[in-house]
Amino acid sequence: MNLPKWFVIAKNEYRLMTSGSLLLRRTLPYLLVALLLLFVFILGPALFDLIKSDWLVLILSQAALSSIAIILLTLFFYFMVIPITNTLKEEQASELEIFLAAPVKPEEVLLGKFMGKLVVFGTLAAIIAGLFAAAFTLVGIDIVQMLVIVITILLLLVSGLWIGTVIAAVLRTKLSRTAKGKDIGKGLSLIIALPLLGLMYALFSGMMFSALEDPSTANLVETILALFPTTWGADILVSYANFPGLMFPPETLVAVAIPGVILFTIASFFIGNRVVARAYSLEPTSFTSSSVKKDGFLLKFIEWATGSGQFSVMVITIFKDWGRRLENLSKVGYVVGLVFLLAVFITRPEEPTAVIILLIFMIGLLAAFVVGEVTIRGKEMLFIYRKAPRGENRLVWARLIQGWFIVVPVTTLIVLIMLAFIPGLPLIDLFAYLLFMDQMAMAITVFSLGVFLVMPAFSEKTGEMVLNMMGTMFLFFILFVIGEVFLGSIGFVLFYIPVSWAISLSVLYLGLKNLSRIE
Amino acid sequence: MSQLIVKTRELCKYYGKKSMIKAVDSLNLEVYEGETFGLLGPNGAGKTTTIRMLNCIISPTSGTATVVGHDIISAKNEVKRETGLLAETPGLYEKLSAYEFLEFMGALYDVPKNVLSNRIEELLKLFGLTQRSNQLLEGYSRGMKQKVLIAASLIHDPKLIFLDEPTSSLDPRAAHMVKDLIKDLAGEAGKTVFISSHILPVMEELCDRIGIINQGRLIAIGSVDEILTSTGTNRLEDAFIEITGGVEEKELLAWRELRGEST
Repeated sequence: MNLPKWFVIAKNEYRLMTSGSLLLRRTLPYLLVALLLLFVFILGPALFDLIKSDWLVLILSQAALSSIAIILLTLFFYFMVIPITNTLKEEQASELEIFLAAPVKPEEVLLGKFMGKLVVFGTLAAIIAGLFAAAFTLVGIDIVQMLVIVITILLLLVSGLWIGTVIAAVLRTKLSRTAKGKDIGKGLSLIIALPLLGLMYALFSGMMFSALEDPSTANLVETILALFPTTWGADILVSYANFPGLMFPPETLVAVAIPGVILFTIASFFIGNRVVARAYSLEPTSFTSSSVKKDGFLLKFIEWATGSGQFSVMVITIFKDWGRRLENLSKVGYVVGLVFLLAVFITRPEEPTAVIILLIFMIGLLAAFVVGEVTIRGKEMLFIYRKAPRGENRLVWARLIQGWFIVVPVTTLIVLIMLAFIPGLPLIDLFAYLLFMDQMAMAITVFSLGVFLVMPAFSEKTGEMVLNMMGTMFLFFILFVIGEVFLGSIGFVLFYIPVSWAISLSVLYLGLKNLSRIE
Repeated sequence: MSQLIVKTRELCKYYGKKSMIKAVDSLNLEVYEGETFGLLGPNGAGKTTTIRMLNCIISPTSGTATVVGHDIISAKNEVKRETGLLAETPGLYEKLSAYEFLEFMGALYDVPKNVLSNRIEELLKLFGLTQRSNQLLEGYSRGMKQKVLIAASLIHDPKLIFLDEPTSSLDPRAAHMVKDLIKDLAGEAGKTVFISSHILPVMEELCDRIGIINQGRLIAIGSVDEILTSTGTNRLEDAFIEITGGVEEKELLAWRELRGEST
């Protein structure tokens, strides 16, 4: 008998994910089970034992239900966003051709890919479920209750993952009809995570718990939470905490909540499958080409500012190619949004050191997003420049100027967002902050460009991309900490700025040397 | 006698540990001004590596070459100015229009601004792209992109044009157009054209002389007639297989016998 198509595809996905190591491929399922048991019986209890008293107060309090419901809801949304982000970012044209040519239905492809990826995300869900189960052993729940908790959380998170997969599939079908749609998809892939981050930051900052304690907002929050199945799961957890050893504790909603979670899971898979059968298509749809418009004010200004010569044509070309990809604009939007969320929920902007550290991190991320593109379109694009006289030098200069034109104004914007949260900041301090951060933005851009030339990333998914990005973000943070701790404010200024520039320029020089060696 | 426009001397390019992989091995080649020269060879023979070295994109491991009278090691910028290249897997800014891309390539090769816009218009007209010159390249068919790329290789009016597999990805109509264009470049515009390909009919039709390269070494050179005479064959395909070593028909069909055994 032939295997179901979705199973064949799932197996292939698993093979792709474990292609780096045959040993891992064979042992992964056993490793996962071992990891789950380790979390449930050893690591989890040990971890929660450290915060035993605080934890017991929380899960036996009035706010336990809402608190756990919020945590589960955040995790549910997180699992929902993962496939949306991944699907929108990816373009798998060649892979799709294989499925299009084979006698396989689109919904089988989707289910197969989902099941294949479940190995990775299922592990994550299992670890989370294990942690919860371990946390509740402190109140003396029995093995059956532990099993129910693990299954409940697994079902909720896997449902979230499936719903996200279905949404992603439908979005992909709708958006891939035009080149612009594909761009929008890629742009959305990052921005879509911002609301979730907002929710998580609100949770971590304690703002959400404050809203639950405040009688004027508590009702509203609880009503909203009750709409989500994660709250039914929270009901089960909290009821078990209060009645250890009872499968269906009296005067609780467990008897309704358990079938509720199971029904929700079945319904989400059933409805999701129907939606996919109707709305998901693998076929490449009509591809309409966009026409370009005349250069706007910004491009004309850049042309003027770069001398209106042949070099300015190169800067503008790089600008156009970058700016016409909406994913790039969304990356900038993501950084600005992230700074805003952090300013609202996490940092205390009245502490200048915290503000500077945060901004240096964010500028590093931004610079890597902008100039990290230098090699991302592959060696063939580099060879266009190498073929031209002095082409590589001009590429680096054009990229640097394009980077500064984006990173410096955005830095000004995010510094102003942060400073807006400081009441009564003197104007002179505002200018000092801006001047300092803008010149740091220039130095960080130089470094980022250099590091991406020293260790080129020829696609967005390479390890080099992540390493360079982390390097850009952490180097200036480490320098900052060294300066702040050891040198005091004057010594810090004398040390931090020149050293940052010296390192950045040296790395750019090394990058330029390496660029000419790439074959 | 025409002037030499390309001359290589023991040109080598090795890769890997201890230079195990000899992509190009002691290549001695001469190409004359005004001719259409074809470098023919199987996949992985070293054609693209040779073209990349002659265009100063990669450096040779040893040996050297002059292109349009300039040394490829000591006078890279001069070589680059005098040559145009259509790469086998060319880079293309897909988010630019054809006009914008040609404008960019012109700037890259220092074409004066007052000359550039007229030249772009002429090239767009020549390639029949005027109507779609403001559309983004991402919406172009493969053949149309190839036209834009050939136009880009001509934007600085080079003396010598390298075309690496110019028709391999094109449909018959687009391939026909490209072949006509190459004939015009060599005939009417008096350019020297250096083509690399493994498509025999294209090489036979276009080239005045052909060099056959295999495993990095030049193993035959001459006009098509000279190559046929030297191998005692009637067709270029037979000569090519004779020189490079072909696969016996029996070997080709061996899998069918195996299949028969297993069923």
